[in-house]
Amino acid sequence: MKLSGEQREVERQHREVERQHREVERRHREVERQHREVERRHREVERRHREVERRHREVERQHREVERRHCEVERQHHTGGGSGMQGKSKEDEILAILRTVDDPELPTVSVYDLGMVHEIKIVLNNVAITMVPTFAGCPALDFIEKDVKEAVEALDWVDGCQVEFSFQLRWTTDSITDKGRENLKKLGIAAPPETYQPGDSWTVSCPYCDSAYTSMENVFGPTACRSILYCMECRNPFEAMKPVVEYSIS
Amino acid sequence: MTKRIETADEAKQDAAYSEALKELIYQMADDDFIVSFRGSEWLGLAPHIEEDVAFSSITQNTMGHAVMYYNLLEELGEGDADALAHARPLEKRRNAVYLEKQNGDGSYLKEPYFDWALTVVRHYFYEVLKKVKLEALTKSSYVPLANIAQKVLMEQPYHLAHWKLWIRQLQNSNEDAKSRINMRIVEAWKEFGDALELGTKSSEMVQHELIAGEEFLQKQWLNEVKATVMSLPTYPLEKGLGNGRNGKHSADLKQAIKIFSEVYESDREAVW
Repeated sequence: MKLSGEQREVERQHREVERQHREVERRHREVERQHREVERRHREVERRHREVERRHREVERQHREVERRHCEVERQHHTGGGSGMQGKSKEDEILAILRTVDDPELPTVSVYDLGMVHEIKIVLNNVAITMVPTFAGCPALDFIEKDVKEAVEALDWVDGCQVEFSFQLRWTTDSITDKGRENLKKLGIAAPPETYQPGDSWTVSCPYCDSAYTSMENVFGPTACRSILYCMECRNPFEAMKPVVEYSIS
Repeated sequence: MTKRIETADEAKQDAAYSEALKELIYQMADDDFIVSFRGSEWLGLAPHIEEDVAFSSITQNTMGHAVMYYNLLEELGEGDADALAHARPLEKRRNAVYLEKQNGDGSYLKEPYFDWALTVVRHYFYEVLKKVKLEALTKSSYVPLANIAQKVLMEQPYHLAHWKLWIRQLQNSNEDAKSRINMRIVEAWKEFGDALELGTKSSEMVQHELIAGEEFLQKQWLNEVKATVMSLPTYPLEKGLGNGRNGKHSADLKQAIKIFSEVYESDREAVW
């Protein structure tokens, strides 16, 4: 009888283990279900993200279109004023388009506002644009060239557009327009300091909270023209455009 | 003063002028190119992550400087810039021989026993020289070269400041760091000699006011280095590895050419 009592106890424990086992399996299935749910939501977020991007592109396209029409209207305004006037307004039209072509590494900051457009020459319906590269080793130049060419050639009256980068010209951080500085800040990138001497250390205020309590993490950043800094006030890392100025030889 | 030459076509009118000019540009181009190649081998291997970011940025930018010089040579009728960088045989190369020296034992892909002290000394010595030459080039009679020198001078202070900081910190560090740096400085003293020279056409270069003379450049370089490096050998610099300005190179350049021309050689017609 004692033995059967023990047997019953073993059986009871056995059933208990089985019950726990089923419980674990149940929970396991639950976790899997949740996991699938998370994945589903993740896909949903991704889908929406793509949708937002698509709309964003659409808005940009419309923006360019409006800009284009705007120029068109302006151009028609000027056409009464003789051929010289017409040439000028065509140039304005090109400039307006260049204000919409963003630097591929600085989305929302146009190549115009970065001070990279040097000269626009229009002969009949052909456009030749001379641009100034920021840093010599910038790998984005080919992309910028392509983007500028495509945007200009989208204008009705333009037959062809040649873009050339001149290494003979010197880009300085002073060439960045006020709008460019503002747009950089929105990206979390501080504009370059106003006073800088080659070789000196420098600092800028935080683009997020405007605190001057910042530290240089690495003067060399993700691209040749940017540095990495850290804000001690709002505890955000941020980037700054690296200052370059004309070098005076003593 | 020699007439200022504004374009490549103008330079080509005078054979003696353009020969000296091309020789000088080859030296500038090949120095930047080989230094950035050796720098690129450190990618992912630098002592810490921020150094990796900094060093690769410097290297990429330096490669961009080499491209500008090769483009000048292309304008002067020397052929395609890509081919000048990748397909020129060893004996046609004009870089200083110390700059082609391998980073250490082993290779980039397999067991890279690279030496950081060699890299710090080499890049510091080179960036000081580059600054001295660029400053002289801003007064060059060849305007396109003077313009490029001005542009590079706006970017290069960052490179020089970086390596100067490393030299300063390591020579003020512990005994191990000090002795490693000193050893590499003594070594460089025996091998860096040709870097400070301008090759067989040096007098023509000065005569045509393309760049200041070797003596002046050497003095400037030495003054700047003396101001930073605590102990320097007292004897003159030597050319222990040969003279790259005359196309005499080491087996290390052969190894470099083999690697950096690999992709180019696999399809010379490829378009990006």
